[in-house]
Amino acid sequence: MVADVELVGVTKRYGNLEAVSRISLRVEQGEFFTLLGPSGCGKTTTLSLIAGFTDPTEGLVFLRGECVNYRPPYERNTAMVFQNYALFPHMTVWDNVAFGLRMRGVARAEVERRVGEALERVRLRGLEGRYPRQLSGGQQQRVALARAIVTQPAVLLLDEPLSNLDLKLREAMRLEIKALQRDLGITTIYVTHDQSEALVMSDRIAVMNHGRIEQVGSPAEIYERPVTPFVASFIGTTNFLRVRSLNVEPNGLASVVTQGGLELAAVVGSRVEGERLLVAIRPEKIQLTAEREGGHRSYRGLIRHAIYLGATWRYVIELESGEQIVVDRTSGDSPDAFGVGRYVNVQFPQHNCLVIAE
Amino acid sequence: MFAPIVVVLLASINSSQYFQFPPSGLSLRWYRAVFTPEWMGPASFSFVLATVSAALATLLGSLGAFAVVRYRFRGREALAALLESPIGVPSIVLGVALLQFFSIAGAKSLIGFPALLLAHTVETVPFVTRTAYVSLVGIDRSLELAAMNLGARPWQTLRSVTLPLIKPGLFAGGAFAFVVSFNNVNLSLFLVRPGQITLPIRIMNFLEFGTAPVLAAVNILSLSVIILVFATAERVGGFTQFIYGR
Repeated sequence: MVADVELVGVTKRYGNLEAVSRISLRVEQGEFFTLLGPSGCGKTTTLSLIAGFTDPTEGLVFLRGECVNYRPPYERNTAMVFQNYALFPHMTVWDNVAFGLRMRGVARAEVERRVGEALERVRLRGLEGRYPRQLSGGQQQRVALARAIVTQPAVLLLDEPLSNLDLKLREAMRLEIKALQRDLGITTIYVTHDQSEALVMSDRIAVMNHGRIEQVGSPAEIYERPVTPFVASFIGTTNFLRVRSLNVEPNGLASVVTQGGLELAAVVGSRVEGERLLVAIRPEKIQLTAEREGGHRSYRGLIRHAIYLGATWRYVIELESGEQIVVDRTSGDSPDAFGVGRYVNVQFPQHNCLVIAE
Repeated sequence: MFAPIVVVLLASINSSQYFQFPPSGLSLRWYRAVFTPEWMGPASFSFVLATVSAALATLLGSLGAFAVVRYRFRGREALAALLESPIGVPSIVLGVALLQFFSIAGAKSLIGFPALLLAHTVETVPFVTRTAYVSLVGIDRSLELAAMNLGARPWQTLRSVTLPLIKPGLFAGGAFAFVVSFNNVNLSLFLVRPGQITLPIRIMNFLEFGTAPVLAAVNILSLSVIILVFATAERVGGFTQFIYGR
């Protein structure tokens, strides 16, 4: 099947600066695809390349199987929701939403019907005559959404649309946008630097850094099986332990000795030959037990800090090997046993210890 | 600041031949004197001249500003400087230069309205260029991208998004251009001809024979024209939005 959006080896240079480097990706029909990365990683440039606001220095951009390089934005049938919404300040809500249909020469009666439907969908009926400045941030956001979906675009492009909203509203809008996208079955590319937004909303995530895609995968894959230290640390918190020696068995399981001398059983991620290696492990996967319990491959550690985070306690633990790790524990589980200055036993479950290249 | 205007206003409704304070009696006789061809001729000539030159200056100034803001081309800085330069030239120098230019070019027949129109347009273009420039730079570029993203071709984007957004700036520049032209003496001095005289030149000529209360009435009327022009520009273009922001 033809993908709705496909980039093949796309590079965008501004002078000496390479904003986007040899990016290739496919976004399937109806998919919610997120470009996630820190500011300046090239995610917004990628969106501009798809919308046609700028053209690639190298590589090809396809929309529904057609190469659209050098085709102007008004002939691409994408619809963008801008970070600042970019609502036309001199037009009412109704005229803002009707704009795309009028530019396409849609008959008046159909404009009426479709604008009405779109406003209904984003629950803005009754505000048709208002101007953007008379609306709250959340309402402006919904006008921008209605204006985009009313044209039935091949792909909906969202550029950090929630970053100007306060936390409560942001969380509500996440679900609202996701529901809207699912109901309409509209192919969506979403740009954000907010990892939790990406995890909640996406079918697939592409993690970007320095103009490159580091990893593409489902939220669970990205979280559980990061392929680079950048991905592992950008999404959630990760402990990294330097590897001194590694012994891989044919079944992919490995035994590792860390710089500090911990002997761990681990699994191997991709591409680990002959490079500097790390063991990555999430704080909530590490197990703590009271000092006297002990056990096979468990290590003694001293609790340096105990931080209460509401749902969890976060412990900073110094192992006897000298390595420091962060461990999360659900706060219901007898926190008294784990006060600052106490010794605990630490265990690293094999399938959660991931060997990756630095 | 308004005190001189109040004095002039009182003088214009004074019934006496000579200026007295307080007025000896009230009368509209000086206004009746103004509504005669002697004054209305130059007044309407100035009005038409100011309107047409302001319109031309608005067109040229906004096109120039658009080119400077939106395009990168050779001579861009030169164009920007050219559009601003008339402000730096003393207008009396420009007036003499234009007079000599028309003489040498053998185009003396253009002295009068055509020469005045050219001179006033050149003089007022910088005002519109400035305001148009500031308006264009102030437009959020994402609004134009949004329009194109929604299917608007470049000219549709210009008509439905860019122009409405810079309209207050254009009207502000246009109103200033009108006033500069309507009040201009220095350029007009050299370029009028009998039967094609501007109001300020008519006043100057009149002053050679001394002052009279009729001038007070003329002043009040020309002030009213300017107020009316600004009111219209505000009503149609909302130009205070340009000057003071929303």
